[in-house]
Amino acid sequence: MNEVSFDFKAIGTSWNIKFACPEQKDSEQLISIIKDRIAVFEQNYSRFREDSFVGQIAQKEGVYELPADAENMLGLYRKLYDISHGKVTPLIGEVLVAAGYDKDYSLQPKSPIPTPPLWDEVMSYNTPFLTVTKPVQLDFGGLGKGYIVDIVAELFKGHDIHDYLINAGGDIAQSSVGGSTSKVGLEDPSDATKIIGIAELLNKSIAGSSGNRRKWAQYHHIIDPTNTKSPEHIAALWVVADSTMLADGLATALFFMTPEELLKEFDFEYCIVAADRTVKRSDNFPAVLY
Amino acid sequence: MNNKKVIVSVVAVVAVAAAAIGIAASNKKAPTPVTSVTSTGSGQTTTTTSDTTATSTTTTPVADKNNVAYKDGTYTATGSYQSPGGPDKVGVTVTLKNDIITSASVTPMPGDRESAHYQSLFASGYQAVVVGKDISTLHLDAVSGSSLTPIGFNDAIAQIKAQAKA
Repeated sequence: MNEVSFDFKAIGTSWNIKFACPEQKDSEQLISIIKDRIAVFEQNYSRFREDSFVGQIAQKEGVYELPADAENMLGLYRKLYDISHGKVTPLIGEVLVAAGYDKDYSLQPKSPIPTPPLWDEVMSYNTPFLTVTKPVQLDFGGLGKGYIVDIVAELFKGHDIHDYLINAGGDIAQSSVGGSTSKVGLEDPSDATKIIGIAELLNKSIAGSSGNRRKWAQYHHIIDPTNTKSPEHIAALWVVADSTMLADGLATALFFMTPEELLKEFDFEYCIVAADRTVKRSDNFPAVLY
Repeated sequence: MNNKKVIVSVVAVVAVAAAAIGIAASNKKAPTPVTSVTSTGSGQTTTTTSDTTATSTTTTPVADKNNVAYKDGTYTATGSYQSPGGPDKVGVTVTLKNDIITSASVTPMPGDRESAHYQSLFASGYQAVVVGKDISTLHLDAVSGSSLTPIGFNDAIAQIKAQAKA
């Protein structure tokens, strides 16, 4: 076994991947496969690329055959959309663009900011076909980064590699056959040179979200579609779950819903740092906090 | 052994907590706590007084690798401050290990209605105030925080470490 660690940049964030590579495997080739797969994902789903199908759907109504991996994302989005009464929605893209979070990063809010259309009014999805009745700006940012981490994890498993740590800008999947945990620092929402605790991750995923980066005007990257404002009551939060996509999606949903509401539907552990730095966490959130 | 620094550090945490309560309890004036510190970790008992007009920045003590500045242990302090509703208190417990705060918890002890409201927020699940710890002293496999961790982040860390050595 060789311990391999490599860093690169993709889908607008920094990646670090560590894995135990069996002697007979070519680690360079594996790295290349992984990077290619991430590039395909970005090409399909990036809101910032006009040649992505997301870019095409934003320009013209019609019936689109989506890649197979859309099913998992749209499935979870639909579930979160329903239980959050529309607050978690892939249709937030138009709002983000109007608020200035566009492909040129203009960060200049337009006025007024539109509210996003209702899901059932503008689109329907029957695998693999998405029908949109008017051009819509989809945004998979609420769980897409977590999902591409899961896709990379599946690639490793497909190559019979079961010891890895996949970190895409803080959305992390960990697997260890031998039961070795990974220490994941929980970034201080008001000072990126500090952490407020350490999570011990074992065969789980963690995703975090906060309003401290990607902040512009009165917005951060999460916007409530019902009032087109960014929630300010949470400084940072983390979710630990079985899949990174679920952790990522729930990290988004927790800006709009209580953990108690979400726990009725999903299994997960959470840690929420409120704006005043008080903390609410589930009993089994696997971390020591300072 | 420098107990005074420990006390200063603990008082700083109290200051943060007191400031938080001051803000939550409808914009009260800056509280002026009188702080007594009891060190259970070292077996010694020390009492001091302070006020929170100083900065409320919490600093994590950093010491020479071979020579810790503070004794490991759990330190508890009670801060009291004068609010318009009467005297209020807040309890703070800090655990030190190898000169690093490994845990901190805050227990509000409200004396008036507004503070009681604040305490009810704690009761609904928000329990302790978190403090930040300097990342450069830690060995981590990864960091999770904001939704985007830019490339520049690691550069900034490297720069800070370099400056701290200068």
